[in-house]
Amino acid sequence: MTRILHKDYPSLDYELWNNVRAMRSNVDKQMGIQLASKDRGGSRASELWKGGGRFQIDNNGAEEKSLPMVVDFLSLHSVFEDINERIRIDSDTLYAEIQALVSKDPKWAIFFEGATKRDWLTINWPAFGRVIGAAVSNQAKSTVKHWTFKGTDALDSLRFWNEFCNSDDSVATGDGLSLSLWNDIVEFYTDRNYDPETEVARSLDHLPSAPFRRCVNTKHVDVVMPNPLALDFRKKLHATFGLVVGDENPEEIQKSHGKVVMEKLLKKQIVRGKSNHAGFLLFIHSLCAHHLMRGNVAQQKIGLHLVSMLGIRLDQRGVGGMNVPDLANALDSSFQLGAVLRILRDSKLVEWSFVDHASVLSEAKLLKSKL
Amino acid sequence: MASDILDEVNDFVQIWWSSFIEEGSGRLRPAGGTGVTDAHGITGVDYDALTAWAKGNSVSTDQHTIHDFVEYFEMLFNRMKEFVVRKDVDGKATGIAGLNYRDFTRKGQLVAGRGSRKYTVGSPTDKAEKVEVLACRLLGTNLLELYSDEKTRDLNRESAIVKELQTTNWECLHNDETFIRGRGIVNFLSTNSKGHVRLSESWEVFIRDHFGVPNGVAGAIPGSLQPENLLKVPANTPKTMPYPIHYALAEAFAKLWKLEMRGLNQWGKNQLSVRNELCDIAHSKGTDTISLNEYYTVYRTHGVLHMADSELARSLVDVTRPNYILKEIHGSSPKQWTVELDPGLIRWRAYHRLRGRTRTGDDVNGEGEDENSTASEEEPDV
Repeated sequence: MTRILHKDYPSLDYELWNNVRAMRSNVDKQMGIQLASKDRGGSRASELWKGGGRFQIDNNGAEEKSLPMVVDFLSLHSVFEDINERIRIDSDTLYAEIQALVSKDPKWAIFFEGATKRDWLTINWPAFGRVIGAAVSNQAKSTVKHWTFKGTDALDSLRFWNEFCNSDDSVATGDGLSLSLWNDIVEFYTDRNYDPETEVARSLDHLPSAPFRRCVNTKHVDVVMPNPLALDFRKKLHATFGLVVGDENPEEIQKSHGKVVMEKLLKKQIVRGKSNHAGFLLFIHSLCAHHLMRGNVAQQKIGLHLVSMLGIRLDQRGVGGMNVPDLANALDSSFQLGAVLRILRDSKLVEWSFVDHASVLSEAKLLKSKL
Repeated sequence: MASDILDEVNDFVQIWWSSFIEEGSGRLRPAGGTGVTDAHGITGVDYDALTAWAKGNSVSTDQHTIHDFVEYFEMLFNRMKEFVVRKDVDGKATGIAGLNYRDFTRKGQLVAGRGSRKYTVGSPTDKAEKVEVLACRLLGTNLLELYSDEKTRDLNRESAIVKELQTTNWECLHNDETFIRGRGIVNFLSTNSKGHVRLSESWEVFIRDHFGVPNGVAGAIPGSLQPENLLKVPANTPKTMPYPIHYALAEAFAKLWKLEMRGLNQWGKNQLSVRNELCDIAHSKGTDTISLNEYYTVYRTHGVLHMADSELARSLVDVTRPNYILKEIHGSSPKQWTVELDPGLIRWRAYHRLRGRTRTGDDVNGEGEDENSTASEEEPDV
């Protein structure tokens, strides 16, 4: 048995979570480390994420065979549920708070012209998932040594922003880069199999999380303008590393980029986000806007689908959490899911818990019988 | 699956011309939509069938993969739009309505200027290949024209290229580098300093309907792109044709290119199969709605369950994609949902049935893929 919910009734996820959430126990830091180190093989092959549940473990990772089997559950940090609820009952005030923050500089208005209330209140889950995927793959290699693949997404992103921001003073002042200079950069990078023009296309989908936009600046010049939120994030990143913008070495930053993003920037914002929803949403947009996506398979398999499934199901149907065996089955990732969950848990982005297997199974059967 | 994508391209061409040309007279329909009739008694274009095609073939989630084709097509499209605007503002056509060799090189060199692991000096680059495929596909279906200077259409060269494409069953485009180097459209542009390619006249009607004044605006000419006329259009007035159909067409060409020149046969496969099957389930029940469980099951049986939620979410923010409306079934316990499919998507699938194409994908495993399926290492493109 590989699934908890019957394969033909995956939408019972909402009720299952609501029925078992009160029974769950949290996976603590030590348990997360032990589970990550015990996890072997891809997400479908692992013994830990089977429909039959897994053994509970002690602090040393030893299986407690006398205890009942358990099933793991994942849910996004409660700040996301809070924001959803806020949007449901009080979206106007939240939108007004965001507008107050982004209208500080008139130059920002040019970039964000046309962005709707819905855009501002919606997280671009696929983009956010890629950010998380890139950071997790980097951290799992660099600091927690779960695999040898390190990913170059962060490095590429940092290199490009450096090149872009240093190519003309007008970028830092928010006036954008003239099309001729932009074309020079594009030519340089397209010769190296990366087309920055694709990033401009992101502005068509979701402006708050797009890195660049083609527009006419205050001096009436056609430019490619960086997202002010991305520049803001760049400053935050440099401040966290204790670096002065312009003095950085992308290779050095890359070594601990994942850890800095997950454990310092994101974790801090999640905690603050409980009392500052507008600031938190802007932070997520800025994180996405700073990340230049190269369609790397690893970041998709590690983060994109996992995070976007949790986020979108929460947004659209109010599903607060998903059981890991079904999630692992759907993801079919060749990366060890345990390592990913450990990093996500430690960053507070997700809450990792477990519930007695027999109870979960009996709830699932009961729900199916009611259909 | 190659034939499925080719079928979609052929469908587009067939639908395009039957929508834009009035059958009895062979005349091009005027801009402004079905409410407009020109001096010859011919009404404007009915976009229903093209919109349905666009829904079925709307762009993939991962736009990185198709970007060059979309960009080149958009460059052609924008150049023609600028031309139409000049025509409306000045009252006469001035300048060229297309792109020359230099314009195309703005997105990267078409010929390798220096040797590398990938190219020898002077060999056509990937970008040249894409320009060639896009331009030939359009030329071969009368959607593009070649000009040797500002006003002279080079019909001889057009005929020669189209003839070679047809006699070789398009093999010269896919498997003969000498075609791109010496006889194709890139070569035509690189050897004619005044040569350019432009979209055919039917695109002008489309551009007018996509950007111009809709019918029924007091004191304004339908389809006009004159700024004074556009100012008269009240806010929130629907466009005659709101969908940027050229994106979807560019993607279909990109899929064919990947398939025929790069041998990547998973490209575009699931997108069509999943959408076909969603529609077939609704059709079998005589409705436009399926249950959320059925929706997920279709994605699961195609090995792309992880994409199902993203598709639901994106359909809300992107008008070019099929719209899936998620509805909670009131009073259901356990709580259940339905997914209402886009009427355009339903029409697109009905068109397949009309033409005798009712097969649902190549890879459907009726029992579900479960543990035995192997996910592709590449991002599925649903």
